[in-house]
Amino acid sequence: MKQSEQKQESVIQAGNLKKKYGDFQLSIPRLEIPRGFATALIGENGAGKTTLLNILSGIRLDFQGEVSYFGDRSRKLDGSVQERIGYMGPGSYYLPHWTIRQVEEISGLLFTGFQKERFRELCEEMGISRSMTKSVKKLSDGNRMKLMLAAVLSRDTELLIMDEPASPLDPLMREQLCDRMRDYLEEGDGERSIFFSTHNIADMENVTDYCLIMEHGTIVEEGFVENLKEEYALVKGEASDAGQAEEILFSMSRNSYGFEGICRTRDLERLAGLDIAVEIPTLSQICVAVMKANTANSPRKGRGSGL
Amino acid sequence: MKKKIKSYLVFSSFSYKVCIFLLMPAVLAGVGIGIGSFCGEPGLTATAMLLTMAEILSDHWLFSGLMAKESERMEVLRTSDMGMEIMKNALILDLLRKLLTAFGILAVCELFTRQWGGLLLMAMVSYVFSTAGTFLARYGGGLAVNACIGQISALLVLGCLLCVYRSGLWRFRVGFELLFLVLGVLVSVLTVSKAMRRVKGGYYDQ
Repeated sequence: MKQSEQKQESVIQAGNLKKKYGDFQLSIPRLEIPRGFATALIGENGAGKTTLLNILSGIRLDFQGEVSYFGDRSRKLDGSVQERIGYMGPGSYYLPHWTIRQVEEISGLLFTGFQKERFRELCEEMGISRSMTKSVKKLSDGNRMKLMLAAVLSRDTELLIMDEPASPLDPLMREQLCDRMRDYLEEGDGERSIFFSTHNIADMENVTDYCLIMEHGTIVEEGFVENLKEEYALVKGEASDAGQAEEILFSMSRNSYGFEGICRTRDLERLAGLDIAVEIPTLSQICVAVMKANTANSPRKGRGSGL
Repeated sequence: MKKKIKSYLVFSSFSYKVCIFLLMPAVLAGVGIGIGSFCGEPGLTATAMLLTMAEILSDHWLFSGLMAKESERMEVLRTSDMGMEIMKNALILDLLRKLLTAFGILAVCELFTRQWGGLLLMAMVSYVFSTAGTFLARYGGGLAVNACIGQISALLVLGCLLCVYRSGLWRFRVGFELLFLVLGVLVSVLTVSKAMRRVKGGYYDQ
């Protein structure tokens, strides 16, 4: 059975989310993060990803709208909900002069489900245990991210909210991160969910079940990856047909030999008669295409305008 | 209470704890006893000055830049509903520790030098200026800022104590003690409430 055909429950539901920040405005009429899956939040810099994640994790309270958790519309963010959510992000999460040992101690104070032994094991596995007296500011960005990962995985949570977890990691550690995310979901047996933002779409594709594409403070496309791959098609053709295809495709790239671009599967019939090859696009290709289509200069717009 | 103490200790590193709970009291008591044995009350005044300076300087390793505009936002505290309580406990316990340290060190000095009578005033003057200095230094964030404010505060402690002990105002000592008790309460409330407003402001981009 396909993931999208399973009965869907939401781990987070939000409605009419609004947050103004200078010239930027976050405006999300409806948001549902499916339970039991890894959901990727993808968008350009400044699209509002961090703002959204901060709102959902309780780091920001200055927003309008309703957010409920764990499939219960009456369950708002409170101590018991926060206990079930693990957050990690690239900002100033810990004080820079805290040592890893202090991080362990404060995590124990903040969260009742924090297991010190588990934390030490994870630090050991991730190669940061030799520096328990090292301060956070002396850790590399990658090690800082590992430290946060160790701290959240040492708790018994049902939802991980991760802001750009892969960005500071090397390719090897990125793969380990994906493995740990998969393990986390599998151990949860459908009860655990992950909501993460990323720029490394290609690297994180194998861990992504559901995808939200964000532009200019709003969600412009969303769906299970397998559905998106059915909805969109990668079209390759001869250079001589590029002009005709350009009207149908968005995010087209071309060279002297031919062109390549993404279109809706339903629009393929409009390309009939052209000498084209149709392939299944990667998530990265879909995301880039949708983002390009939603930039200010593009004539084509996303979900809201019927892309 | 155990959790409150833990909240405070968690903000300080092992080396900070060693310095603040062992080295600083030992060194300052030694200095106070040493100088006080030879010249009496000036030894205690010098101890009060050094204590004020040390308290402000050492805060750099505890809550440096807490009040600064570009302060570290400590997002971890906002991901748990215990976060704000832990922060508040840490701030209050830090003040309590400052007060007890001032009384403790100066009491030991008085005991050894047999200079009785000025403990409450000296301890409160030192506490008020070290707390006020710490509060101001937290708007900065650099070691140099703490050192500079520490020195100024130490001079103010000297000025106040000289004013009381050497200018004939000794007979109003009780009045000064009451004044510094009130100032001590005010500066403590201000320090905790302003810091908490700053930390909570992180929820609202303030």
